[in-house]
Amino acid sequence: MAAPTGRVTGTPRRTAVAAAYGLTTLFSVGYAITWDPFRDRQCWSDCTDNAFLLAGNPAGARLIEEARLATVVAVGVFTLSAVTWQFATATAIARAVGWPIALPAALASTSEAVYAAARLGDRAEGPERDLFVGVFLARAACLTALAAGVIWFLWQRRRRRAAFVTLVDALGKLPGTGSLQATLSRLLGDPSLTVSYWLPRVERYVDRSGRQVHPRAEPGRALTSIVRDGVPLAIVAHERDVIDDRTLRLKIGSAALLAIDNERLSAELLAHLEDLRASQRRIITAADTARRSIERDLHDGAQQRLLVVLYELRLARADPAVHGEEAAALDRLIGAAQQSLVDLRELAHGIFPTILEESGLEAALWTLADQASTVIQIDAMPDRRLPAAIEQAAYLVVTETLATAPSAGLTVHASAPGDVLVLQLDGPQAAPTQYLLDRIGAADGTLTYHDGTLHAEVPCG
Amino acid sequence: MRIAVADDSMLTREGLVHLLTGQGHDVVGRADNAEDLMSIVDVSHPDAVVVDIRMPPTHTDEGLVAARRIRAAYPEIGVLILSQYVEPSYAMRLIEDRPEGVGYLLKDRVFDVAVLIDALRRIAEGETVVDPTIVARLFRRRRTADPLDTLSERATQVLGLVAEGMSNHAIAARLHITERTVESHITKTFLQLGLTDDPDSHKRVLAVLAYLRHHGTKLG
Repeated sequence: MAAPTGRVTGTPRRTAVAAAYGLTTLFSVGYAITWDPFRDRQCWSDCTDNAFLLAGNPAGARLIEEARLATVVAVGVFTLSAVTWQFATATAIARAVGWPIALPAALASTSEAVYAAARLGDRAEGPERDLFVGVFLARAACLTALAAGVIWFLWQRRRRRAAFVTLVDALGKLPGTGSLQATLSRLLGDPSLTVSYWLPRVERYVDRSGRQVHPRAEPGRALTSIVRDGVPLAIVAHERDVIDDRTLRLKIGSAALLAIDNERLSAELLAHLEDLRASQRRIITAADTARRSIERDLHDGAQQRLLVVLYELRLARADPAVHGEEAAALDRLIGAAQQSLVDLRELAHGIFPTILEESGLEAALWTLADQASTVIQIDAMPDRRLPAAIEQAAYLVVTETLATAPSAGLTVHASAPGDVLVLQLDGPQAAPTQYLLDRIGAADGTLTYHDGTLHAEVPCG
Repeated sequence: MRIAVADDSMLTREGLVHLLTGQGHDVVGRADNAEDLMSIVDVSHPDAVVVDIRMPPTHTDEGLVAARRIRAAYPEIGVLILSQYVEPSYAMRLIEDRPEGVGYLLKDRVFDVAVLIDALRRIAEGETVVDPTIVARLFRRRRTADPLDTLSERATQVLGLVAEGMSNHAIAARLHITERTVESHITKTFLQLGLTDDPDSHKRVLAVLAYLRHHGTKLG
């Protein structure tokens, strides 16, 4: 039950093991002081003098012996079921490591239980009886197998540790990120093994690609810290049974520590990059939201009030008593108010027109085509709405490129096969601006320009 | 004329009501959202409704959706859509469904009482009304090898008025020319642009608008 780590875990198992040891002690001592070989008729195998005999009591000795046999049966059955259960619920890796001990242990406990049960049923044990000979041979075979299993297990573990030392030392020479995880995973035979690096500056764990992770001890798995000078470098999450953390800590040499340091630095760089990207996205989103809110304010506030002014002016102008100089002044005012409305509308149209939000990319591009001083040909459009940020990015690619389009115009071809928007603009005579590159980059997209054709791909996920 | 008015801006709504009652029209209901407008229409059955595109709750195209529902349930009720945007696609969405008796006007035009009354009269008679600003914008759209450039100034004018939804008679009155001259301009222009002159004036509006929207700009 303690295999393969040498520790017994769980209260029921600990209790069972302690009880078995305790009862065995009790029975042995009791039997030793009460059993008198000369008065035991069934004695055949060990009928020498009993040096511990204090008070010969055949009935008492017999009672103790029977209690012991019953306990052996109980412990045997318990051990069998515990080992079977442990084996059945273990991970594939733990099973592969543990079977040389678990299997003979289960058989041995069964054979012991059978032997004890046979003795309980029939006290007259003797080499001349087939039943007892068979049971004896089975017990011997099982115990031999158990011993072989333990030896095999220890030998395997020793071999693994030796390989571990060699490979961990070699790790210092291995280039490339992720080699620590790959190496540990390979030599411990645990494909689920992961290495997380501790970044003290931002106080979090990241994986080798810089993504934040939260290493947690899961059932059947263990976390082992790799520490240098009391400072954590990394944490290894692995199958609990493949290696114990003491070995892992001891065997990681200075060369490997250097490799870990390297990998950690590169993970930190990647994490930093990811942070930058996220902050870029947040800045852009905030700027867009602010712009849209300004547009709304202009629309719902200033524009409405100007409409009222216009309305009042028209009402005044419609008064039949107004004529001559007064009427001319009102007409001028009406004209000015109307022009202000037009100006305001153009201003409020902003970078992202409301129609983009309300009706989508195609409608917004048609509206753009109405206003633009360049010919915009729309070749193809996605037949569905895409996430707002993606539509904005695509719209921006077109508006930002308009200025560099030749008089022949700009041809827009957009499609959304799967989870990516593919936008192709034919006509631009210059490479995209840094602003546009930044915008598309922030959306994790790519923008390439080649020979009058701008090609953008933006993931929609 | 019995008219219902729906606009979530109180100033615009009351201004419209004031203008309409001042012109002797009967405002049978006023609403600040599409649902209330629908109940008014169900109960009072007006001759025409004036409705703002953007209304609560989302302030996007509630007015347009309400207009479609009214058009579907009561085809005889004229619908005049008001918008603060010059967005041809909104007007097209409305007109393409059912062009008879619908209109799309910019808000800064409706306080011109003559324009408002004229538009309401036309849609009540089953005509189509498209704001001249929108037509002008469609004309301004740049095209590759623009056939519109080859049109005479008068022919362009006539085509624009056709796009605004005007009848030959109204165009003749506006331009101070005879109806026969209007007809001959239309026949010639349509031939030049490759459009078929449909005697049904609604289909004619759609054909011209569609031409203006998409010719030389591909797609559609």
